[in-house]
Amino acid sequence: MTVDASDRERLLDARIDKLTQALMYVAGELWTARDRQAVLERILIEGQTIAPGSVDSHRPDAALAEALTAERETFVARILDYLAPDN
Amino acid sequence: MNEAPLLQSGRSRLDFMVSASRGLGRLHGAVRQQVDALGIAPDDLPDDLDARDAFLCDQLAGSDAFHAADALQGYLGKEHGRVARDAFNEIAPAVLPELEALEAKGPATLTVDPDLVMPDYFDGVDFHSTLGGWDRHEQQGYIHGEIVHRLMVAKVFPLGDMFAQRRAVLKELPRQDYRDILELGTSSGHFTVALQQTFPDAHITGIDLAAPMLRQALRVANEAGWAWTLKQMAAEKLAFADDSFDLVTAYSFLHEMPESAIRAIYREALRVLRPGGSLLIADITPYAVQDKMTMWRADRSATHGGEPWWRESAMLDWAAIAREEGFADATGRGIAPKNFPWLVEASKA
Repeated sequence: MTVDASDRERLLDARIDKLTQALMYVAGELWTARDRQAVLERILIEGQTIAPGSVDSHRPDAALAEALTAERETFVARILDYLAPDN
Repeated sequence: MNEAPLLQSGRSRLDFMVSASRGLGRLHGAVRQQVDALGIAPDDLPDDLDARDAFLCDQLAGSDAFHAADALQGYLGKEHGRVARDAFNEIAPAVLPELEALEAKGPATLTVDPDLVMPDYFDGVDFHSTLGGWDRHEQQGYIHGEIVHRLMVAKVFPLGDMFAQRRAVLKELPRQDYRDILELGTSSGHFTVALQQTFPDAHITGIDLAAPMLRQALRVANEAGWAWTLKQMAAEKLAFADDSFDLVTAYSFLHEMPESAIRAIYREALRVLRPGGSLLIADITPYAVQDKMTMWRADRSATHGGEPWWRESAMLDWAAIAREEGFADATGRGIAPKNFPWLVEASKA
């Protein structure tokens, strides 16, 4: 298949879009791991026993939820700053 | 209904969607500023929507924010449904017994029509980029109503409390004595709740094409002790006798279908309303009352966000169509400050 210059540019744009979306997916998974680690640390700091399912079912209290939200918003903002320095 | 008891992975993935949505909002703000800086007057833009989109894409070709917003919207559109579905699947063993018990509890009833032929505009369409649309997953009603809407959309809805907005719309009705109410496009029951709270003595009938959505509405009604009558049915082919209801209403429903279906729905609404009964439709803001730039943003967002019928319906004059289909006094108006939702109000003579 041959493509002209404008088609090449369009295809490149489409591929960058796909790459960006893949990056966001991986970032989401990374965030999920960071959140899990924060929950695990909280349970350990409180001296609770780690039982099967205790991290899964842990509901962050207001303070932890607020801290996670702030950290997450900064995390996303930094990704977007790289993708779109003009935002 | 209690908040969905998501596990850590489902909760944190959904939280990430919320933050990414807020990031998308910031990117859109940056694009707006860049468009303003280009000095393009809205009236100078092409009338044709596709030509306008091509023109503005060309103007914004050098904008990182514009390209990042496009990519991010594509990611959110595709991923939010998957994240919500996965989050549900993680908790399914824990919540399904309770959901099944709520379905059986009463006093609400649900009649599913196994012979219902789905209209072409609905069948197999991935509404909101959700794979399979409203009826692919057996529990799509819970997934959409309790996870997508309550734990994601409600946190990023740009006009405040999306549930209060549903109640506020009903304050615009001309009467307070509705006894028999028909809601078209009940979905998982968010607007139905507002109807019942506003008219506590009314009997509510709700219809929808998607049985999984109605099953969630059934649970919502049963949990609150409301005797809703829920039926799987097409709004353009109502199985109710003439003069059956004194209010026919729908919220955020008509933009999910083409003009032919909207016209049929108006005809059916007129038929099943009693003389003196009211019609109240609340939906998206028509393009005719938007400037060209606002229209472009809405159209682009809908086109990229899994809204296959948005453009066709947004280009209609819904009140004029209602008049053509028999509602002689139909009028349209928007709710301040953003003309959203748009209301079509009429009565049956």
